[in-house]
Parts: sequence; structure tokens; C-alpha cells
Amino acid sequence: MFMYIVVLSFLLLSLLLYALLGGADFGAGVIQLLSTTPKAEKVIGRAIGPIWEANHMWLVIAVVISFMGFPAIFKVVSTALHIPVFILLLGIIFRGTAYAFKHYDAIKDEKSQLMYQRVFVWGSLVSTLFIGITFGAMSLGKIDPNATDFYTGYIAPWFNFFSISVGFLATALFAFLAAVYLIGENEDPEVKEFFIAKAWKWLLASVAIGVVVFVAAYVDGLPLFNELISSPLSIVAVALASILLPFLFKTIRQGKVVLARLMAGAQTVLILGAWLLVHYPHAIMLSNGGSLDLYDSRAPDATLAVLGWALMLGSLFILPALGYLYVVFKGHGPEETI
Amino acid sequence: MGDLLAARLQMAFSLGFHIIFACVGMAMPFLMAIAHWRYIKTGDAVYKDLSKAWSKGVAIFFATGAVSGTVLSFELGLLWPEFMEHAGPIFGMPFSLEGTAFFIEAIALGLFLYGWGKIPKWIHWSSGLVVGISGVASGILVVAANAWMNSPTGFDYDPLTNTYSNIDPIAAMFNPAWFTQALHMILAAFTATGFAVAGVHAFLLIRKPANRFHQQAMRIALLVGGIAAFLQPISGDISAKDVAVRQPAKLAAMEAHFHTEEYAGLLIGGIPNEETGEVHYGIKIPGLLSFLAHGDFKQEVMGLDQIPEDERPPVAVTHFAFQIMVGAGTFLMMVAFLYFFAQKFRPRWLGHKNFLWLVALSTPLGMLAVEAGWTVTEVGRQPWIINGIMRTKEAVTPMPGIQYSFYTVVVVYTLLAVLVSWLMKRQVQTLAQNYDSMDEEIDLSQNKANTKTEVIEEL
Repeated sequence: MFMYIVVLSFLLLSLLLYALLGGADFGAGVIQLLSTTPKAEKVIGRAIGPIWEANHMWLVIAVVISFMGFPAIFKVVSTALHIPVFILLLGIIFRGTAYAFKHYDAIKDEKSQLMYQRVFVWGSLVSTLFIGITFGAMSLGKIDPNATDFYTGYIAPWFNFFSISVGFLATALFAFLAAVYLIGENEDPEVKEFFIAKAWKWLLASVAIGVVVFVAAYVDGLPLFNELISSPLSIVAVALASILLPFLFKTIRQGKVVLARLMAGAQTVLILGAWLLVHYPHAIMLSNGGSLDLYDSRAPDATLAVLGWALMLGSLFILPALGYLYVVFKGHGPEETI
Repeated sequence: MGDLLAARLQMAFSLGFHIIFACVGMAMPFLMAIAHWRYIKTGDAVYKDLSKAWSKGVAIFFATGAVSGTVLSFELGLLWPEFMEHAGPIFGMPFSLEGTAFFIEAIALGLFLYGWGKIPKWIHWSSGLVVGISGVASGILVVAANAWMNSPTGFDYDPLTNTYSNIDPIAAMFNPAWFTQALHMILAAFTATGFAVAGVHAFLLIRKPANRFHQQAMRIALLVGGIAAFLQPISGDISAKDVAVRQPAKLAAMEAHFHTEEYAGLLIGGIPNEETGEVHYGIKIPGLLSFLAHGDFKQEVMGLDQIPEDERPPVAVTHFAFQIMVGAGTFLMMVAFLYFFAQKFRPRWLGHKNFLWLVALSTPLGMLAVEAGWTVTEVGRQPWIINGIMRTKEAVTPMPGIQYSFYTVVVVYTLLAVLVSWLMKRQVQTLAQNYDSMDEEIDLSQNKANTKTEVIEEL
């Protein structure tokens, strides 16, 4: 039981860190979707340069914990949500390589830089959208492992109002996070103003899409609101997230870098936390009204024991090294890349 | 195209793509570290420039390897959900450690690439070394997981109820094949990367024979690749003996050895006919297969005739791939021998056009051997996904239409391969304008470099 909790905690931790760090990397692409400036583009490139690959490792850790620690869940997600996961992978491939190519191309001509930039931005959008769709589909309850026709088995679980609106919510939230993080990456008032404006817009968008998600849940027959108020902890999380909102608007307006970052991070943690709390111990809701639960889907004890140890030992190496990386590069982004 | 074939091809294509970037990620940091070390020791700017120029290439390869690796970790589930449900808890251990190793690799690479002038020079140098060490650790761990598929241990299997019990992930990780396979792969990575890098610089030397930058680059790469190429046959021999015991069907397919016999001959070349069990146009060296497989010329070697028909791997593909691997590896070993000989006794040869052409033509051979080697081990294990336990066709996803995702993967990865090659070409084009030391020329008969004094504090 202890190791089950350790493994589960690491799964949640890696998902959370992926949302907070990797999500912001995606968001940095998304906020450039509608408009960008050469200066902002430069700040973004410099800010995520040294750390983006480390940020995306959290996803791989989460995948490994899933297939080793909760194999039945991994199997159902991989099968029923094959299509959105595959599209997510395409997004990850395109945005990751476009970012690296843009940065390390020896000849920085306008034409190819523009091409990389476009692929980076659209790849980021596809990735955030399909991360959201995949997680939305896991909680909606249209997954039917015994489906016999293609539509019920592989399309209906995710191609619906609710999952897609969760996709847009994830997109907006990640974009908002990125904008808030980026405010403090540069002293140039013009660039600061640019990111403050972006943060505002995407926060508004997140709130608006958040409302749509509730409507979509109602339309698709998911009692999301009732579930949220069914547990005192999730009520607290939702209440806190709502109370934080006006303060968040204010700190962003005032350009208070650290406070805004902390509050934006907290906002994301609260929303994700409420969502996880509502669902615990269910990991996947099925179309027959049942669910795949974390505890029931866990791997044998021997596996959880070694996995737990591997994760604990691993974090002894990872966290200090990661800390050093952030200390070296954050606060004063590298002026000159190689 | 059937779904099983499409899934196998997609997996093969994804792995075949990723392995090139993984090899570069394992070996290249060591080349960089050698150049970087020489710079710190001698203050010779050419080594600093070399280290920097290489690291830009590595950054592109690493990013592509990171995303294609992420894709693979998902594809295990997307294509083989039934396999992962049962195998995940057993063979997942090395993957969980690999996550840590790769994390550290990513962190150290960030420090190395962006750390010029920002962090103390020895921490900076060490960060480059850590990239290589964790890359090799990742490689060993992932290969250990693959080795488990070849020699599954660490569980009890009941075929009647299709259940896996008494799971021991540590025993699964240290399965009997992990060491031989990992050793073979790591040496292959160093050989392939060393010769690929040396080949590119040799090609550039053909045009500018006196360029010091490319000379030093080629030498460092040939040193690393050459040593690995020399050790590889030893590792190959250990592997062959191992496969002979645990996967006789694979060995038989590699050698197109249809009939069980004593004094079994080693087949070189030849076109096997799987219908008739005959081999045409091959050369057989009597007794050598017995000797290589079991250390005794007389010993019987099991042929495909003793394997039930529905458990035989495809012979032609496995045999051809094996021939290509051994052929390419042997050729590279001879080039390495020539290099070491010339280095010691005939330094002038190293600048000779013919030698440079030889090295330039070797560029793709190491990677070709790696691809062929993976083909041998994967196709040679068929029809099994877990050797003797689960068949590949039982593991494949129930989702129809996998050929479309296969086509997509082919298009995307082909595009990426073209782009990466194009980017490398652009790196080479701009070397002269980015690095002053590119202009230095030196007569090859002088073995000593003219050490330019550079302020080391600049680091």
C-alpha cells in the first residue's frame, strides 16, 4: 500500500510538473498564434532554450509509470484513445523539432525561420489541444473497451463536445501560464507589456472556455458540477481558484513577476487538483457507467516496490540537477546562445 | 496491407529512425568531451571550435532523438497494447531508470550547450561528459528491456490461463541477454557515430586537404570509432554463442541453416529459398558455424528443421540483414586497422586522397550495420514478441487501419531525415565564417600542432 501511494504520488507529480513546465513550453508557442513581435519571439526562444527538453521528460516519466504501475489503464488509453494520442505525438514531433531547428540552424534566413516558427506555433496548438482532448475523454465515460464498430470504439470516446472543449481549456490555460512566466523574462517595457496583454487575454479565454466545459459536460451527460460539489476538498479547490482570479488579474496588471507566477501556478494546480480529486480513485470512466480504478489496475506489489524505489532514487538525482539548471539560467536568461 | 504487418513496419520504421539519433546521442558527447579536454589542456582554439561546432550538431540530433524516443514510448502501447499490459510490470524497470538517465542527459546538455562562459570550466566540461555517460546508461537500459523480449525471465507463465505470476522486475532487467546485447549495441553506437563523423570530415578534407580543423576532427572520430570497431567482433562472438543457446531458431535464420548437422558450415552470402530449404550461390566454410556457435568444430548446430513450422522466423530477411551487418562491420574494422597503422608508421597516408575517400565512403556503413543488426534481432525473434511466450499477432492493437498511421510515420520521418541532413549541410557551409581556426592550415608531415596560445580564462 505504501509503495502504491509513492508510485501514485510520482504519477501525479509528473503530470502536474508536465502541466506547469511542459505546458508552459507549449503555451509559449500558442500565444504567438494570433500575433507576435520579433522581440517577443526572441525572448521566448531564449527563455525555453536551455530547459525545454528537461520539461518534456515529465511526460515520458508519466508514461513509464503508467505502463509499469497501472498497465490496464495504459492499455485502455492506448487503444480507445489511439487516434488523439497519435495526433498528440505528431504535434510533439513537429513542435519539438521545429523549435530545435529554428534555434540551431546555422543559417538564419527569413524564409526558413518563418517556416520553423509556423510549425512551432501550430505544433504547439495541436499538442495542447490533444493533451486536453485525451484527458477530457478519460473522464467523460464514452470509452467502451468491448466496442465492435470503429466509431464507438475509436472515435466516439474523444470526438465530442466535452473532450474538445477540455482541449481548448488546456490550450488556453497553458498559453496563460506561458504568458505569465514570460513577463519576468525580460526588462524591455515593450515586451513586458506584450506578455501582460497576452496573459490577460488568455486568462479571460480560460475563464470563458471553463464555462463552456461545464455546458459541454451537461450536454454530453457528465454531471461535472454535481461531482465537483460532492467532495469538500474539491469545493475548497474550486472556491480558492475562483477567489484567486481577481487578485491574479491585479498582479498581472501590475506586472508583479514572482507573485503572478506563483498565483498562476497555483491556479493551474487547483484546477488540475480539483479534477483529480473528483475522479479519484477512478482513472477512466467507461461507457457502461463503470470505471477503471487506479487501485484495481495497479501492478503486482513486487513491481510497485521496485518502481517506487527507482522513482525515489531517481528524484535524488533529478531534482538537484534540475534545480542547478534553473538557477543558472532563470532570472538572467543566457544572453548569447551558442 | 494487414494491420499486423502495418504495426510491425511502423514499429520498425520508428525504431530504425530513432536508433540513429540514439547512437549519435551516446557517442557524440564523448567526441566533444575529448576535443573540449584538449582545448582546456592546450588552449588551442581549434579544439574549442570543434567542440562547439559538434555540439550544435548534437543539439539538433538530440532534439530529434528526444521526440522520436517519446513517440516510441507511446507506440509501445498504441501498437502493442496486449503486450504492454502483461509485459509492462515485468520489464518496465529499465524504462523507469532510463527516465532518470535521460532526464539527467537533458539537463546536462542544457548546461553544456548554454554554459560557455557562464559556469566554471570544469563543471562545464563535466556536464558534457555527463551527457555521454547518461546517454550510454540510457542505451544499456533500453537494450536490457529489449533483451528481456529475447530471453524473458523474472516471472512464471501459465499458458492454460494466460497469467503471469511471481513477477520479479529486477530479475527481468538482469535477464541472461542484457549484457551481451547492451555491449554489442554500445560498441555499435561508437563505431557507427565515429565513422559517420570521420567520414563527413574526410569528405571535407578531400576539398581542403590542409585544413587543421577537419584533420583533428577526423582523427578524434576515427580514434573512437576505430577502437570500438576493433572490439566489436569479440562482442559479436559472445552474442553468437548466447543466441545459439537461447534462440537457436534465430541463429538458424541468421545463417540460413535449414538442416541440423554436425560440423556445421558458416555461410557467407547466398540466397536462401525458404520453400525448399536450399541456399544458392553461397560459400560455406566447413565446421566454422559449429565452432563459432559452440566453440567446437564437431558440435551439432540445430537447424530450422527442428523448429515447428509455425515458430520459424523469416529466413531471407534475417540472413541478408546478418550478412550486411557483418560485412559492414568487417569493412570498418579494416579501415580502422589502416588508420592506426598509418597513424603509427605512415603519417603521410592520412592526408592521401585515396585514404580520405575510403573514410568518406565509410560514412553510412556503421549506421547501416546498426539498422541491419536490429533487423536481425527483431525479425529473427518472430513470430514471438516475448520469445516462446507471446506471439506478435496476439499483441497487436485491435484497432483497424494501422496502415494509415504507418504511412503517416513514414512521411513525417522521411521529411525529418531530409531536414536534418539539410541542416547539417548548412552547419558545414557556415563553419568558415563562424570559426577563425577553420582557416588554419598545416602540412601533414608535421605531426605537432602549432599551439596557438589562447586565454583559457575565456571559458
